[in-house]
Amino acid sequence: MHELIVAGLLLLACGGCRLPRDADHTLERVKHGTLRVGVIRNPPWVIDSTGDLRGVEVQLVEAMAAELNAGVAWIPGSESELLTSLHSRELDLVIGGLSGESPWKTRVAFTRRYYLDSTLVSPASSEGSGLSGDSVAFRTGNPAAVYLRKKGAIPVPVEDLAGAQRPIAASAWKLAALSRSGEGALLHTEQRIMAVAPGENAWLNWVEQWLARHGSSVPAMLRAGGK
Amino acid sequence: MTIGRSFELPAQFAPDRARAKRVSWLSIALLTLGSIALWLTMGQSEAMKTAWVTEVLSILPAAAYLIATRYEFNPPTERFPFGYLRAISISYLVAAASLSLIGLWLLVDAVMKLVKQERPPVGTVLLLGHQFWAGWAMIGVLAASMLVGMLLGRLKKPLAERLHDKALKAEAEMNRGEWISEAAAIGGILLIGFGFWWGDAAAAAFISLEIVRDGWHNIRQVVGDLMDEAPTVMDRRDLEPLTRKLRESAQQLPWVERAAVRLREQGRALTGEVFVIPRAVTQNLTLQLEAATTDLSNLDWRLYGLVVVLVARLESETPPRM
Repeated sequence: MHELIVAGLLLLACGGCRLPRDADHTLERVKHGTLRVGVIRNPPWVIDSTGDLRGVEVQLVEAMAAELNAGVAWIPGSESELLTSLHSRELDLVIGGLSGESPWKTRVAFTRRYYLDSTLVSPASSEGSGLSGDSVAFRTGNPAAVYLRKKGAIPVPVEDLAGAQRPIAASAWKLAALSRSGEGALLHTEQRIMAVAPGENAWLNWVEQWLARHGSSVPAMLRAGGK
Repeated sequence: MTIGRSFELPAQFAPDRARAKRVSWLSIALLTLGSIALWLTMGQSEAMKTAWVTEVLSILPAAAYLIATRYEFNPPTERFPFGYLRAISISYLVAAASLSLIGLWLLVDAVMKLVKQERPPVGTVLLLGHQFWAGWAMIGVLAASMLVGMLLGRLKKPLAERLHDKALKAEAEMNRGEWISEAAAIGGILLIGFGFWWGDAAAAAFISLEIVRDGWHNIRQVVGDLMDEAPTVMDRRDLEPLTRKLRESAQQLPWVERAAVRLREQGRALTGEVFVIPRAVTQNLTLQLEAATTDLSNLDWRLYGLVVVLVARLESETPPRM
């Protein structure tokens, strides 16, 4: 029974102190300091038009930095490059429409999702559901093809969804931008998350709580196209 | 002498045996719930992962026990003329061996995390509209599973002692010993909370060492059983005095000149032989032998299928003591 008493006392002792703390004091450092943010070009989350950064996640980070009274150092790069740096704590945050299912999730710290991105099959005006047996257009290179095949549809790659006459598979925000119906069958959902340096748990908790408070503004930002 | 009679537990143990089975079912239920709770809160903490594996593994012996008790008292068959008493030992060997191997694997995993300096991220959880550090949820679940382990250990220990059940006893010890693992995991989580990232993997390494130690201890015990070890006192390495008692009783029979005894543990029962040299003039030798078998078997309820063998001479009364 002693062990229980000891454990109980430990818990009580820690009720007062603010846990968790960072292993490397990131949160303390970025307050009134500089936030080092890796950015991966990935519209509409991160839009990089000739050095001018825009996008949903860029906007979120700017608001976050304002609350911390921090300046932001934007460091553009590829996903593997930036996440490798993040793993060794050369960066504080990496953004660019990262997915919660990314294989990087065991090497860096992923936040809770701030937005659930759903891929839908929007039917063409004349046709039915657009699944099982139907051919469905998707943008070349989009993983929607895999999910379409699983549902028995025939995926047809196209360069630009705008002109497609058949049913199309795309994210809800993309369908809205194309003024297509968002009433289609749900194909797949993906968690939009940000990546934080691992072990910096006070910082991770701060970002997660901030995103939980501000996540509700993401759909509106997506409708505005991240501008 | 009867061949094909199955071992019977004395009637006074029937309620304890039924209770042991109920407690095993309770263990499986509670430990399954514990495993689910640990899995849900696990996150990326290595200590939590190890505590979760321990919890899942501790279901194994309870399940093995239930499977074995279903078969152990089956009557001997033509193919298995000595009965199924060793079912318990075999199921226990499987459980203990897998325990040790998984423990080793977890140890390597934890040490690798330390060597590669992987830092554990522990974010927030949402519970009933509150968002707070996931570490608190982990600590809560670990504390609950610590209490469950203690409760199960406390329920099993007296039953195991009354039933002379080594498998159940080892299980009770394992449940009770789990508090160390869970306390270590709580320590690991708190260390993460205070910014000491290595605390997580260090706690995990400690827990996996405990698993390996437990597994090794159980393997040694059960291998002894399968190697026909002489009956030992519960939980200790000392030999039971029963072998000597049996020999003395045999020697006190008026028609017996000298006797020697060889006993082994077979799961819950004790089997073996009594070798006797009869005195030169003995009337009704067969009847005497029959009566002696019954009388000697009644010395202890665990004696089963005892065989009394007539011999002309004995080179020694006991095997050499090593």
